[in-house]
Amino acid sequence: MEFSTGKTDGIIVLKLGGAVRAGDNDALQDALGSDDIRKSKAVIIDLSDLEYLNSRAIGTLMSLWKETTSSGRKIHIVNPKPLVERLLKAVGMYTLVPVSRSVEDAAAALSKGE
Amino acid sequence: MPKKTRTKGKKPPGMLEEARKALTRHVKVHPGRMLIKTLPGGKARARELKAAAAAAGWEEGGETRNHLAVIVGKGVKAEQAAAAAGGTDAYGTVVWGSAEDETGLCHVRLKQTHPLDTVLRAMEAVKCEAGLVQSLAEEKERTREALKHLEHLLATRDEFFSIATHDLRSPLTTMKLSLAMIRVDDAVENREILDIMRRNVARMEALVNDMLEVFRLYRGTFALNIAPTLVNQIVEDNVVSLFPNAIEKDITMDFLLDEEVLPINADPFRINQVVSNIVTNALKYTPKGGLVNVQTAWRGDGVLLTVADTGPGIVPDEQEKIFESFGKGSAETTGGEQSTGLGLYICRRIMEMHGGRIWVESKPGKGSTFHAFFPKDGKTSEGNG
Repeated sequence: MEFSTGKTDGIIVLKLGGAVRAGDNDALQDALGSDDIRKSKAVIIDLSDLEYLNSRAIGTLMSLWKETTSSGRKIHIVNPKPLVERLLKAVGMYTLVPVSRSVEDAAAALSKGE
Repeated sequence: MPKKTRTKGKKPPGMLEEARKALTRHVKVHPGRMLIKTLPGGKARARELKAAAAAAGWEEGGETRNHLAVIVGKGVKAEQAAAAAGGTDAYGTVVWGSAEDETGLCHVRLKQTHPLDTVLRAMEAVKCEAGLVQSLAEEKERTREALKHLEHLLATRDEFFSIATHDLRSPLTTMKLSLAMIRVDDAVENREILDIMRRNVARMEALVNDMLEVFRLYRGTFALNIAPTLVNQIVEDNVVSLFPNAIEKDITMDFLLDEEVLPINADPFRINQVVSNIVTNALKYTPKGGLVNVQTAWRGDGVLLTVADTGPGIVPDEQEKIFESFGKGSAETTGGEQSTGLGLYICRRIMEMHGGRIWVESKPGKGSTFHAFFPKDGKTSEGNG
């Protein structure tokens, strides 16, 4: 698993790459629980380089979505690959979280309050 | 120490008891009425045999046209008796025979039936003073009766399965549809009861479907429709559909599919049944916080599916039993899921019909790993009982 964070227009961008397997789950959970992410007004999760994530990783993303939206903040997903898209659809995340084609599109949507 | 002597004509100690045991063993395998025939000078031997036979529960019966010779007597040699009964090749006509055993008796069973006088001639030829002759006609009749009874039992079983599967499906479907039509808003107070009903209808439906499959296996109507089959796609479909259940149970579900896996010739519907069963079982028995890992690997002559879990494991005694019909193991599911005890039996039959294999490796407390090998060229055999 590859993991990095950045900022665009004051919004945290979380980029995941590679594959999230059983051995990566704790690291992902720790990363998503960082202060930067918890305090950001919005979070963009860039999945364009992510090949695969297991059920626990999806559960972690769902927890992040719940926590973010329950505090009135926003979250966007960016450009998932077909398998990742399929997995997110299977658990119903696609109907809950807005999906953008690029980080720029997501940032623009968030700045409009979408 | 004084030397032991044996008076001529007296039986050795315990002989009657030993003879009784030998005859009891025999009558279990070959039940039937016995004639006790005595040759001149063999009255004492006949009395011994009669007492032994009576103690073994044999009944005396009347003469019939043909007899299967069971000659039990001192000094009888299998080959001699067979030859005397008309066989040119002694061993070719003897089903079994023994040399003198510890009781001093020999047991000879002829392969073919013979008129009684032939049997008596055989006894005479081998100097058997007395012998037991079994009526084959009666044994055949008993076998016929047993077969008739068995056929009746099979017909009853088939009828039961037919009722339990086809006739139960219709009311079940109606119940399921009716439950689906009840709007949640209409029944907020009864939601819990409705959920119980839905779960139980689903359970009954699963049981009836499994029984129907077993019925098809018994009847030989469980046919395969062989077609090019993408095992990886089937595995992915199953695992993806179970991700919500894994998240709900807080189980890590991982899968890794070998990109080298080629399409195989198999029945895709049945392969899906096997994959679904194994993966669903792993989720059923894995506790919260556990791991289910699903992998495929191309082996050159087929695909190996491996499903490993961190469930309670299976005790050695149950590792074969779980593949038998209604052979549920002792482990409990972790989320209240139901098990009919037929799923893995059906899986094994499907795998056998494909010329494949399914097996489990497990250590109690250390989880289980199920393997299923799908050969690249599945057979087209039909199922039968």
